[in-house]
Amino acid sequence: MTQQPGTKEKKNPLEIIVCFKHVIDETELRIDRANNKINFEGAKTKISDDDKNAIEEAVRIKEKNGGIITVVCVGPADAKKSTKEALAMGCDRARLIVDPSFQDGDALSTAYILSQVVKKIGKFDLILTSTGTTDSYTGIVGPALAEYLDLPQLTYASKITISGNKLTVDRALDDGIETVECEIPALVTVSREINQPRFPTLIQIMSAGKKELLEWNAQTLGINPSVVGKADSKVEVKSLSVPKSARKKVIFEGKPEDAAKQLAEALLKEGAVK
Amino acid sequence: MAGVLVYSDSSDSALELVTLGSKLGREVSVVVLGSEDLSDQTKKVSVNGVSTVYQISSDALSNLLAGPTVDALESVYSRVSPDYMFFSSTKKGKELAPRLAARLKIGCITDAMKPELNENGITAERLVLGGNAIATVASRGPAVATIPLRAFERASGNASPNVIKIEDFQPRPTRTIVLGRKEKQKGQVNIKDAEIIVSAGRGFKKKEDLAILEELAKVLNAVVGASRPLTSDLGWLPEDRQVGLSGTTVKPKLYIAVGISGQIQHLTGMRESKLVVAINTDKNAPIFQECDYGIVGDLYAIIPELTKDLKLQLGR
Ligand SMILES: Cc1cc2nc3c(=O)[nH]c(=O)nc-3n(C[C@H](O)[C@H](O)[C@H](O)COP(=O)(O)OP(=O)(O)OC[C@H]3O[C@@H](n4cnc5c(N)ncnc54)[C@H](O)[C@@H]3O)c2cc1C
Ligand SMILES: Cc1cc2nc3c(=O)[nH]c(=O)nc-3n(C[C@H](O)[C@H](O)[C@H](O)COP(=O)(O)OP(=O)(O)OC[C@H]3O[C@@H](n4cnc5c(N)ncnc54)[C@H](O)[C@@H]3O)c2cc1C
Repeated sequence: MTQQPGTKEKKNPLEIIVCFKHVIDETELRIDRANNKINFEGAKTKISDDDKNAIEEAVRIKEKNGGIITVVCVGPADAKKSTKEALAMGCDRARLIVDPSFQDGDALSTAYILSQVVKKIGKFDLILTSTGTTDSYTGIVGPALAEYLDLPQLTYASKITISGNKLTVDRALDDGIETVECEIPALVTVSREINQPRFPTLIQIMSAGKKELLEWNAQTLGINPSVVGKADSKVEVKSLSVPKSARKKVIFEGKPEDAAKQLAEALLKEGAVK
Repeated sequence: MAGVLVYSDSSDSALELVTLGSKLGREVSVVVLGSEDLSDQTKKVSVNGVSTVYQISSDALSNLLAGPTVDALESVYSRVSPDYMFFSSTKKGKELAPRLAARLKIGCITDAMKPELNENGITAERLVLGGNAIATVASRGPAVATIPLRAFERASGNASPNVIKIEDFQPRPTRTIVLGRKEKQKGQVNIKDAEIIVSAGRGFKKKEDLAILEELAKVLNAVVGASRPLTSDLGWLPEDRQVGLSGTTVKPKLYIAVGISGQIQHLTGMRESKLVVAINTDKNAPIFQECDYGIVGDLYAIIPELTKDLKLQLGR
């Protein structure tokens, strides 16, 4: 939304891009502890939890400032379901990026693909991502995407305000809240506490089907498959295992006063209380 | 053999990264950044195992915003050409490491547990899928990693590393400014470093009832932590008391979970506790699979008894 010097306040709609990942629902996974395996068969999928906060925030910004929201997902073909959900939540159009060569890449590869998607979309003022996904949870994609697009990164946002070209963000850091300001365009990663995502209404769900949903792939994006995905990843996943517990599991039952006494004695014996 | 470079926004955490570097048998260099005189910071990290301290002092680094900070780290990195660079898994560390990795076109591993060297890179474990699984990941070649806090002891000793001041630092122009800062109230409560934590969960029926747990905490010199419903959802306790995946990871000597079911996102935050105690009415609660000692019973009956017994035994 750069303003021509001298021209009258011209109101270009705010162009927002929001990125989400389509993930396996980790709360519904079946864990086979005996065989140290996770059973992915028939696992449910969803929009990564905090990405819903990013989508919600995009919609709130649009409700306040006006604008157009493009939602982007790099994922498998069945991410279409999640993409429609994002449209139902209030995004205006979607770009679903599916290509076998994009699979099993590291987070930098995903960020690079997203940067090419953003370039193809062309105009934008604000990019929103979450701070980390519920599946691999690296938190790499947001800052890496900002780097590839040479944008300022305002991370851990607990509040976002846009006024004209000015973007103000409260960042929830380890030691407090920092308020920063910059000019758009910029990339913001949102914290979970920023809002409470809405549930789309039936009407919204039905009308989502009529919104523009384009599928792009490596070819449409002009990406050489040898520079993305597994082929170019600098970090590889070697294996997945189930965390094991080696706790004593001594359980006291019975009368509260007896159980409490036994526990107190055990804690003293362990030297755990002094 | 190239060494490792470490940076943390906290000097104490930087010392943990020094220990890691030494453990990997590498020469360790530390970066210190700021906008003022850096001699205090430099002194703090002048410990055994550190060969060189690189200093960059610049007005652009007064708030350690990501843009100029990454520029500064890049300039040290290109001078040192280390094999690995380690950050602490603080919020700052986790926003800097990915951006630096993207700029340098090298791998990035965040929240790397048990980092080790392999033939040509670094191998580490990461908690994924909401804590349900551990992924073993490996970099092909040089990499940047963020390391969970307190995974290693702080390096110590008085050493005299080389100190190199980088004078020609030129940050890229930036349009981001800090308007203000509201420090978290530095309450007395710091669950991160607590030796004993008693944590409350949804088994408590109302906020006022937490008083019985506070009583127990007082007898044990413990701090009160909580599961997420009590912090984010109900607001009975501030968010900095939340233990778990989206809260704080704690590692106390004793962790007592009271009325907490033991969902994976909670377990992830307390799994490294030395001794775990659970009190829950439901004998099938998952927390009983993750505890050393447990009582199946009503917390409202048990906590006052336990407090009374311990008070007596400990002579308080
Ligand atoms: C078990 C496991 C461990 C892994 N460990 C690592 C590792 O240590 N280092 C590494 O580089 N890679 C790793 N990867 C690969 C990495 O997870 C993928 O590249 C993934 O596409 C991006 O990482 P993330 O899920 O961690 O996203 P995050 O970086 O946590 O995502 C942050 C935000 O970026 C946006 N975003 C992320 N992915 C997409 C997407 N596909 N489409 C649209 N928006 C998106 C969302 O807004 C998201 O909330 C791992 C993969 C697995 C399966
Ligand atoms: C992405 C994500 C991140 C999350 N991050 C976190 C996190 O950081 N930390 C966290 O804690 N959770 C987190 N959660 C939430 C987590 O999944 C659980 O919902 C939460 O931990 C449950 O809290 P609880 O055990 O207190 O409550 P519940 O699961 O409701 O358990 C209450 C327990 O109290 C017991 N009880 C009831 N009455 C009594 C009584 N009188 N005496 C004794 N016991 C009694 C019950 O048997 C039950 O086991 C996260 C979830 C998601 C999806």
